[in-house]
Amino acid sequence: MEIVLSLAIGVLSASGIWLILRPRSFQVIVGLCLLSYAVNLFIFSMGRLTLSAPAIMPKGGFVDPTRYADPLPQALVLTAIVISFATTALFLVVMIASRGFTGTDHVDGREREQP
Amino acid sequence: MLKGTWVLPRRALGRLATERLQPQLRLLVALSLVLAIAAIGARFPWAPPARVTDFSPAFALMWLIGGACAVGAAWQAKYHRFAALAMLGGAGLVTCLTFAWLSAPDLAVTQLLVEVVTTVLLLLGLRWLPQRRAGLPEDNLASARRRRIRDLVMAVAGGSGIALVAHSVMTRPLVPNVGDWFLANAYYEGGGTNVVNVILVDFRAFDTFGEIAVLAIVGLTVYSLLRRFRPAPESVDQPNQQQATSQQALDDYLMVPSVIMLWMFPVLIMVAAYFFFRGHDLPGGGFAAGVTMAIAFLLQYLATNVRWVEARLTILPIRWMGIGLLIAAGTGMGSWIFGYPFLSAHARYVSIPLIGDVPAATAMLFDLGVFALVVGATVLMLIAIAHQSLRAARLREQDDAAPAAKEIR
Repeated sequence: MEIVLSLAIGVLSASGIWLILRPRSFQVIVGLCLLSYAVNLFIFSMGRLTLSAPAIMPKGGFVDPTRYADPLPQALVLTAIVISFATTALFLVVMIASRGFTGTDHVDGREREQP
Repeated sequence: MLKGTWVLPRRALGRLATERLQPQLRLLVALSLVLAIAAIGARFPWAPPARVTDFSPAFALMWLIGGACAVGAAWQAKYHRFAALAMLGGAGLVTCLTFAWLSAPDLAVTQLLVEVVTTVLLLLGLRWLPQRRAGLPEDNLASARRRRIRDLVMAVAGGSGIALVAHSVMTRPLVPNVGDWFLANAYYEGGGTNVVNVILVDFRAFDTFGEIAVLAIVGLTVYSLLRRFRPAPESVDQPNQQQATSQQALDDYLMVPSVIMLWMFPVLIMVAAYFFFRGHDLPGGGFAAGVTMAIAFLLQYLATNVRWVEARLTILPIRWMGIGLLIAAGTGMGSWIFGYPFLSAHARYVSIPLIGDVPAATAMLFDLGVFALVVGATVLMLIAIAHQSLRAARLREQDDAAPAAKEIR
């Protein structure tokens, strides 16, 4: 499992890095989304992988923490998911506004000048 | 000496600074690669894995699809935006399934719902981008090809580095940490059995408070940016797909799905309430409920059109956001009255006739604030973008009306 998940994080972040280095703003926005998946999975995996033991406690009684998934990375990732939605929305709006003002969808607001 | 103070910085600026985004990002990625290698390269623990969960072929197959989607999205994002968007959604779904598989139901629910909203958001944005059917001529220049190869090398290096670090951390045993304390005390101190939700609304509520404030700020920024938005001239026309079809066909477009979407409205509100009330004890919570509620509103817009919905439904998203923020802050300040620090929560059981003992935590009130704010901010952003099409239509009508008015005169 670990090897699959780490390869997945690698593929997601490689695609994300490739895309954020591209010149068109839509490519950058897709790249940021892919990078945010990769980073979320990375943070989540810092709590190690646990199968079928979600952090739902019994009501009362002794709790053995080693039997459950680590809740802290999950809580951090939950906020990260919502925040990354907000940043995507902001970026999208800046993108369409800049397209309206400059007439191009290049990230710099103007096409690269030809040498 | 004095001359050096401005000559040197200026020379550094001339060499390093650029107003273009790509070189800056390239520098950033390259620098983080170099620093990461310098920091852990020599001392990388190449020890054999100490902790491994069983390999599952289904999980590997799932990520084969997820990885293919990610690479496909990277490949297609320039010329086939819609395909790239669909594949981005595929990668997101596999991420969501991974969370569900690895005992994080809260994350899976939230990721799935946010995925829906993000896709709708990006689809709304697609309309305002320039059409690109054929390849750009400068893509085939030797310099562009060199750039692509360099970026590919950097992407592969970065990806494999992250994969290596992730694998080596995942296969170490977990040392006892603060998470154990949260697990042991969630029920006794926070009164909830879903530890992830208790952390969000009780133990680390201040964090969540900051986060919803960020969400509110982003919502307002999006709204105000779009009020002064001028679309690019060629995007104002009706989309090609709509021009070719008759008005009759447009009116009846997706008739059956739209009726179903309209009828889903009360059901979705119910689902949102369900997520909200079970959140403290079982997967769910204010975020998931808020996004569900936002999707309920959104479906009404998708099923009909802006004018139809707004003639029947007054949503006032900014008021939702304000009330949400006030509830959250008020709950936090309520603990001052009892002499506790900001955002201390209290949990107890109260008995309600016919229903019996129900948990009543002040954290639930805080979660209500989170819920209202998430609904408001999400709906505000999506509606602000959706209204741009309405404005474009109004511009078109004005253009059509202008010559007609001249003729009458």
